[in-house]
Amino acid sequence: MTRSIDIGYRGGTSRFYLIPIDRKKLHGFKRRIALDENGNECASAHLTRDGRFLLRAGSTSDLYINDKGDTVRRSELVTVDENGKPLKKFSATVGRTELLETPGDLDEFLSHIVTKVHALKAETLDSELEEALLDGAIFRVSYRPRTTYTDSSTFLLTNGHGIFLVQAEICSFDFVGLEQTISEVEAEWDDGEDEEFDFEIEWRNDHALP
Amino acid sequence: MPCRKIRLADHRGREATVLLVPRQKPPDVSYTDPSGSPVRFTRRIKATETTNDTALLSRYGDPDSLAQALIDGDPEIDLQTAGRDAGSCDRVHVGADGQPLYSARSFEVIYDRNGNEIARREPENIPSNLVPDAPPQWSGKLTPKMDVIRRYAFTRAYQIRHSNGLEFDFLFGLARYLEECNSMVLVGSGPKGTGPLILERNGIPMKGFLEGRTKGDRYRLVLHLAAFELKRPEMSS
Repeated sequence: MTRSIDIGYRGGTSRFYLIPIDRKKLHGFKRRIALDENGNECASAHLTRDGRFLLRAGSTSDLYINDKGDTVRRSELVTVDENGKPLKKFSATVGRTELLETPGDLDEFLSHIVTKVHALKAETLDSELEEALLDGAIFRVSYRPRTTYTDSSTFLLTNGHGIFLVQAEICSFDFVGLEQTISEVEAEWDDGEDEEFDFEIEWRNDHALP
Repeated sequence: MPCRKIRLADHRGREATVLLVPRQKPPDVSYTDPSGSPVRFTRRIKATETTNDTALLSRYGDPDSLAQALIDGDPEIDLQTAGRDAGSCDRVHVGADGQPLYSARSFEVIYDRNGNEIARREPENIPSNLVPDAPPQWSGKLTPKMDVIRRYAFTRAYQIRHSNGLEFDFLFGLARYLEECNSMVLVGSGPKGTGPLILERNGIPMKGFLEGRTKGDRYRLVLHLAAFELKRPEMSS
């Protein structure tokens, strides 16, 4: 089912359908496979470190357990911060009209990295909103497809290819002066950062939590 | 782990190898049960190679016999093993007989945007090109910020930092120049400095743009990396 979003701007309302886009959908992709001596593609599996068990897909269960070793249902999990304090819940915005205010500025948008992109297909497009977007406005939208515990940033913008809804995460870089040198080993390089985001992986991650 | 470096050229014909600092990710959230007791994630063994779907189907011959066996008993559960913590595991390839392979040939399969296989080839390792042997070139391709951010999806960003006074002068000058131009400059590989950047071995090629700002005697220089352009896919949705 295609998701939709209703956007209100200066009294007018527009409705868009969301089409997720990523690098794979635009440029294709490649993956590495392994073949056995007969040229058949091999499946992958996990071998426990003691070598006793070969675990193929579907052979394990992911679960949460508490201090007593009891399983805790995902729907019962309480999300907390590093101090153990329950986090504020941000409810999903699905089904409500997002009211746009004044456009944000460029620097605000540049202080984020993109995590998801949706191309928008307009069912109805208010002329004032269209005009503002064509003038280069970048609007901040409170878009949350599901309940979350971390407030995210979403932007609405257009270019010659269409209108896009861009979900993003803040990256706070400070100004640095001469005395603020950094050694080669001081900053930890995070090689785990996704090379490209994948909607399937994102979907699985999103659905791993209540 | 040591910080990664990038070899950069500037508008004055100077070049330096400077540090790339990743963004600070927001702190990870954790979970408790309803009573406030902390919970942890665990991966438990559910089935082994003798009790998984394939093995059971092979043992009972056909789905009906297997279904009857599942009704009559619990052949899918190895009571000695089910529920054990899987712990750390190594990833292995398994052959058609379900046994681990000690050697396998690797191939790289290329798919088009619709997910159709279009080519197979021997995999080749493509190294990172952030610090090339030859001096990098200043691309000179300055683009207004407004145009750049509406054209590309910047999926990564790294701050460029100095590790000594000479590098500070180099980077501060570059940041001030970009700020005065109110533009971002294309940073890339190759003889013209316009080719894609590959951050890690076999990483995806990305388009890099440098954004600079200054505040008094301080600067902020950020390398924004785009994995793709903002445009609609050609396939039907």
